Amino acid sequence: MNTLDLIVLFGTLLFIVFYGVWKTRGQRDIEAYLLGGHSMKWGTIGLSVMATQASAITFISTPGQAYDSGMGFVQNYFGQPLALIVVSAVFIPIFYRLKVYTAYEFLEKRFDTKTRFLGAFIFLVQRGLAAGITIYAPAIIISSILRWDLTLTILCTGVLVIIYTVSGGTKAVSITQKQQMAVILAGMFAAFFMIVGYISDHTTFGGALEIAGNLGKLEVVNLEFDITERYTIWSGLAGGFFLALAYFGTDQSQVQRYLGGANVSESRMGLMFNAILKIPLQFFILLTGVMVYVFYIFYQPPMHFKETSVEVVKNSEYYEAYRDLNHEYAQAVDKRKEAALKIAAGSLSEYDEKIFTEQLVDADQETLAIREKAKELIVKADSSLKTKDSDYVFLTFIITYLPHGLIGLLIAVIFSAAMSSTSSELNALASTTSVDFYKRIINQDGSAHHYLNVSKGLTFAWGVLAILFAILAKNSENLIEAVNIIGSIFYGTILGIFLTAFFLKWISGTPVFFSAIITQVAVIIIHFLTEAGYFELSYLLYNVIGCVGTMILSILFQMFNGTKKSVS
Amino acid sequence: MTELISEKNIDKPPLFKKWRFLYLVVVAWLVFMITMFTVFSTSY
Repeated sequence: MNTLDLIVLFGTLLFIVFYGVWKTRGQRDIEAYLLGGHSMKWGTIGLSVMATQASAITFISTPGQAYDSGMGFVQNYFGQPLALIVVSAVFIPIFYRLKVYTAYEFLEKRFDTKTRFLGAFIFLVQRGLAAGITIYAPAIIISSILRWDLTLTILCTGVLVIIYTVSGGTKAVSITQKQQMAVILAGMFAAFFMIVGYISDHTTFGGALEIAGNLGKLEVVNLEFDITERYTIWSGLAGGFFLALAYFGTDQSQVQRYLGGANVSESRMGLMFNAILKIPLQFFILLTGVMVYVFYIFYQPPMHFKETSVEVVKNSEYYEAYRDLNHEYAQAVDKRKEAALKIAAGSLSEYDEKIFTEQLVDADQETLAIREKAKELIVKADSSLKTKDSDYVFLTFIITYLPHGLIGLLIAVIFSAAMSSTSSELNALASTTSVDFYKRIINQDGSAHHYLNVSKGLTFAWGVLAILFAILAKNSENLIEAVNIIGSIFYGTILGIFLTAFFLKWISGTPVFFSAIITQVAVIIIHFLTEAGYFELSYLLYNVIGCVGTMILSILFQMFNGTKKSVS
Repeated sequence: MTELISEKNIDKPPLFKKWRFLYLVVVAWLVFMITMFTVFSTSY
C-alpha cells in the first residue's frame, strides 16, 4: 500500500464516521436513539439490513470459498427470501402494534417477564461473543497480509465504530451503513471489472466462464437429495429458511434495523428489498471469486496464499522440499495455462476441444494435489498452523494486482463491512441491556434524558468489551468456529420461543419457559456428546433441534397443565 | 413497484392483497433465479 491507498482508505472511513456523527447530533430521548425516531425510509432500512448481514468476512471469505469450491455456496441463501416474507407478514405487524423497542419486550407482552429475560439473556451471550469476532476475524487477515500490528488494527476498527454508534445510536448506524454499502458495492464492482479486464488479455468473459465451467466451478444448483452433500438446493431452502427466520425475526441486531422504519410499510419494503437483492449480490461475490480463479490460470498464483505460513516453512528444515514442490507447481500451472489458452483461442475441432479440456482438468487436479502437499509441509514445519488459505486469496489478489488507489478502496470495503456489522451489534446489545434489563429491573422511573445517557454508556461499554474480546481472541485460532457453534446452540431455542408465541396462541408463558430451558440444556448436552465423539451431527442441526424441541415440549406441557390461554 | 411503495396503497384493509402480490413477486423471483442458475450450471 502506498500513500494514495492510505489517503483513500482513511479518507473514506473518517468521512463516514464524521458524517454519521454530524447527521445525528442533538438526539434528546431514548426513542430517537434506539429506534431512530421512527423516521427511516425503506431504502435506508433495506441497505442497513443488508450491511448488518454482510460482515467483512463476507467480502474476504466468500470469493475465497468460490475459488476453492465453486459457486454452490449461494444455495445457502435460497431460504432467505421465504423467511423474509414470514418476518414481513407475521413478525413486523406484531412488533409495531405492541410498540416494542426490542424483540424480547414482545415476549413479556405475549408470555411473561421470565421468558423475556431468558430471550434477552440468550441474545446478549451469543451476540456479545460475536461482536468481538466481527472485529477480530478481518483484522487477523488484514494485519497478516499488510503486516500491520493486529492489536492496532482491532483498536482502529473498534474505536471508529464506537465514535459514531455511541454518538448517534440507531440512526447513525443506518445512515453510515448506506455510505458503507455504497463503498462496498463500488469497490466490489471495480474489482470485478478489473479482473475481467486482466482476463480479457487472454480470453473473453464467455471464454472465462467456459474454462471455469470445465473445472466444475460454475455448478450453482445441486438438485441431488443427499444429506451428506454440503450444499444442495434442499439444504439451502430448508436450513437457510430456519437460519434466516431466526436471524431476521429474533436477533435484535436485525430487528432494530427494521423497527426504525417510519411505519410498517417502510419496514416491510426494506425487507422485501433484501429478499430480492441478497441472492444476486451473493452470486456476484462468488462469481468474482471464480473470476479470480480463472485469472490465476493465466497468471502464476502462489502455491499457498497465507504468506506468514510460507515463511515458517522457509525457515524450517522443510525449505528445500517446499522449493522443489513450488517448482513442480509452476510446471503444472504452465500446463494448465497452455490448455486454457488453446481452449480460449477457439476454432478447435470437437476432438481437439475434448483433448484440451481433459488436459486442462488433469493439470488443474495436479495443481490442487500439489497445494495439498504444500499444506502437509506447513503442518510438518509447525503443527499449530492452520492450512486453510482460502480467506487470503482475494486480499492477496487485491494487494498484488490492483492499481494503487483501488487497493485503498478495497481495504476500505473490508473495514466498512466490519464496521457496519459491529455498529449494529453494539447498538442492539446496548438496547437489549438498557430496555430489557436496566429499565425493566433497575430504574423504571428515569427521565428520557437519563435513559439516553444510560444507552450511550452501555453502547460504549459493549464496544470496549468487543475490542477486549477481539484482542484476547488472538490466542485462539478456533474461536471463529467456536462462536458459530455457540450461535447455533442458542438460535434454535430462541426461534422456538418466538414461533410458539406467534403460531401457538393457546400456549402460555410457563410451559414455554421451562420447555426452552430443558431444550437448551438438551442441545448443550448433545453438543458435548458430539464433541466427545459419541455420534456425528452437524452443528447447524442444533438450530432445528432447539426450535422443534421447544415447540413440541411447550405443547406437551400446556396439554399436561390443562389450562388453555388464548392470546389475541 | 412505485405504486406499491406509495403509502396510500399499503396498510389499508383492501390493499393488504397488494402485499400478498409483492410476496408472490418475491417467490416468483426466487423460482426464476433458481431456474436461471440451473440453466447457467448446465450451460457451462
